[in-house]
Amino acid sequence: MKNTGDKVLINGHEYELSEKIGGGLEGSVFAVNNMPNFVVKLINTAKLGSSAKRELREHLQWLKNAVGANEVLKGKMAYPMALLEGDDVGYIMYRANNCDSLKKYITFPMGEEFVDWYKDNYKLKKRLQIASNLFNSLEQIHISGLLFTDLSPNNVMVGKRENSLVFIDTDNMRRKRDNYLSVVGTQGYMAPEIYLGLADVNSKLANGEFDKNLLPQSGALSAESDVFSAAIIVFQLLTLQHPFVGDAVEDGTAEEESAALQCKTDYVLHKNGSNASSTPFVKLFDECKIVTPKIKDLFYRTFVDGKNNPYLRPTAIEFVEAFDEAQDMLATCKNCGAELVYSPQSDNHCWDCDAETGNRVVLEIFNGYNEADRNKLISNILNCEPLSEFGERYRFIPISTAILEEDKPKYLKLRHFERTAKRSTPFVKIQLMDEISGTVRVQIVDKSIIPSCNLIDRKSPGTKFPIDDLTKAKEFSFDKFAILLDVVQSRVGKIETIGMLSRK
Amino acid sequence: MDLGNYMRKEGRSLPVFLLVDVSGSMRGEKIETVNVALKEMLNTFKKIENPKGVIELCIIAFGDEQTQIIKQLSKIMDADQFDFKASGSTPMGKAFQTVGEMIENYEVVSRRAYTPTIVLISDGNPTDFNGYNANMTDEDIYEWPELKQLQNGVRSSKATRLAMGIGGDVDMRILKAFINNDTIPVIKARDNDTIAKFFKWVTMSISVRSVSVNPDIPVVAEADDIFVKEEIEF
Repeated sequence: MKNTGDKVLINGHEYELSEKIGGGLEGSVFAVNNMPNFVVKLINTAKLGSSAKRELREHLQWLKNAVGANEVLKGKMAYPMALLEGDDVGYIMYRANNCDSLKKYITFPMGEEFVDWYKDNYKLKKRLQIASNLFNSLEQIHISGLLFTDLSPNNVMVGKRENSLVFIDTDNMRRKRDNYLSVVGTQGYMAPEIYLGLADVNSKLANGEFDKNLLPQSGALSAESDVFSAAIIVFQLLTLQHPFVGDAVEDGTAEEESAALQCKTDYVLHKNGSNASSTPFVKLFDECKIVTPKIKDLFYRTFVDGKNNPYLRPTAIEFVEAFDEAQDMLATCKNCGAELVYSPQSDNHCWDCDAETGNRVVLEIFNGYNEADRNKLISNILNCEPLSEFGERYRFIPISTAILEEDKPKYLKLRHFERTAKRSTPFVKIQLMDEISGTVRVQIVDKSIIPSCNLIDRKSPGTKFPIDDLTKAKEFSFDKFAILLDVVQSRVGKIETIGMLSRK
Repeated sequence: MDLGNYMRKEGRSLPVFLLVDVSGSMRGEKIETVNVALKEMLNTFKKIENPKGVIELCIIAFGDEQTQIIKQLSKIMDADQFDFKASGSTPMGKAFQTVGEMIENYEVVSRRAYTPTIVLISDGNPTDFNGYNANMTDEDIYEWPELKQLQNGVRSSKATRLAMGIGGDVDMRILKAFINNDTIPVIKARDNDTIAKFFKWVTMSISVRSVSVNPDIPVVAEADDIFVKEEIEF
């Protein structure tokens, strides 16, 4: 096989391979002389016959076209931009510069202090953002009719400064509708049904009665198996522990660990399981200090309910929403600086230093139906009166919540307003200027979505008057004003979206 | 929560046993090449960052009618330096016995350890194989008690075995019987270059395995990538 200094042929031009930067047994990745933004992946074909080589080339050509024509996916993965010519099998792709392997985030380095490492190097906010991005990218792949198939921390690169993700080792990607003759994946990250598939393939090959049409029924690759793989990665990202490796497995033999990596044990947080883990971040996950109850539930549905039934697993987009919401609930401990998922109206203690967090400024966004009762709505929220009083005639629904902290401006996006399209479009910028006096600054940043919104005097909410046009930044005391963010006319009357700030 | 007191479980060990023939015939360039290649292997192992399987190495030299444990199974230390001196006979059977006993001993290879790898390097035929002659059948070779015991041990039977025969005097059938796996070739060293390549091959296989998600799965690097055809015998 070729090595540093050898030449490869791409589009009729010769390029010289520079230093080897990665790869395993299935191939090597080389830098390219004089082309710092590209790398060449050379696939090891020593064991492949000529027809297998041809199929591999055809597959790479398909992938080049499929991803190359997809504007969304192109930016999310290092895909074959051109194939190698001559005897070599491989391709040239963009180099993921200024990135770290996701593996770095889940592999605790020996000799470091466990909690400090988790806290200082890779903050919880970054971990939650990576989780959201990972599931979001997966969703994009799936709606494009593709499967990633070999999702593992080694195949995901994270931007050092931003948290953008780039998938590498994309050559195992497949069409959703295809059947597969071989099962691809990384042990420890494959869904349980993929192992069943593997056993099935092996026994059928051994008996010489291989029928590829049987494969999908025995549990082949699917969007659901991709979600399972992503869930394992994200669970590790948050807890530094594999979801099926409990204390007994850690103490057990290497064979027992192998079985656990193939999900043959119970989920470490299974309610009636026998595989509990006492590692600190699994506990904090369980106690919802680093995740929301919704996230905890999604993982339970994946690793318990959906373990052996792919169709009971949550979809990628459910994970995206839950991780976006969790980022809104982050609060910083004023004593030690650790980030925690804050739970309003309950006794919050920092998971690290155990200090009481005290009440925090909480923005709650409600949709109120029936304009006439707005004053009653607001006074009820203010006085914490039961909402059932409104009866059938008036309904209002909390739609999103966010913690505000000084010096950390928050962009409210359309997802905060229950919009299903363009969910990530920022719409309002809101910043806590002074926590003690309760001063916030609000500004509409995208007039094309909603041209203006108004402040409402909390003492006389019945009076409908605009205090000011919020397309210009406006500072006000949240003890005095609520924000009327949006008014939508619907068949049943007006729907008013109101933002209320309070210390909870 | 008292997180400060949390003790993280130590990584599982990935044991590697190196059996080196130090009989008289190895003297000179052969043994010097082994010394240099071993040093390179140790340096590469030391540089592996955050391995999942922590490499532990044991070095057993066999020559002069005895086996000598040069390094007890342990992590690779900065101070590790080994210089083999060659003399005497080739007590390969004794080496098999020694390594077999160590692998079955839970005090040596802990129950949490990943399955071991045994690497054998020899330039001659065993001098402690009763009745051995070049004309004996393959079946008879498999009946060699010391080898048979190694192949049938509860844990040693699962070990990955790699072997290199140096020079034309080696009965490759013995090394093949040692490997006992059709997918792994015996390496035939024609010169010192092959010895260096063999160490690279072993280093690569063990390194990849130590950082893999499940180091219990044996990894043997593609021999075709490193050796020329004449050096490989399946």
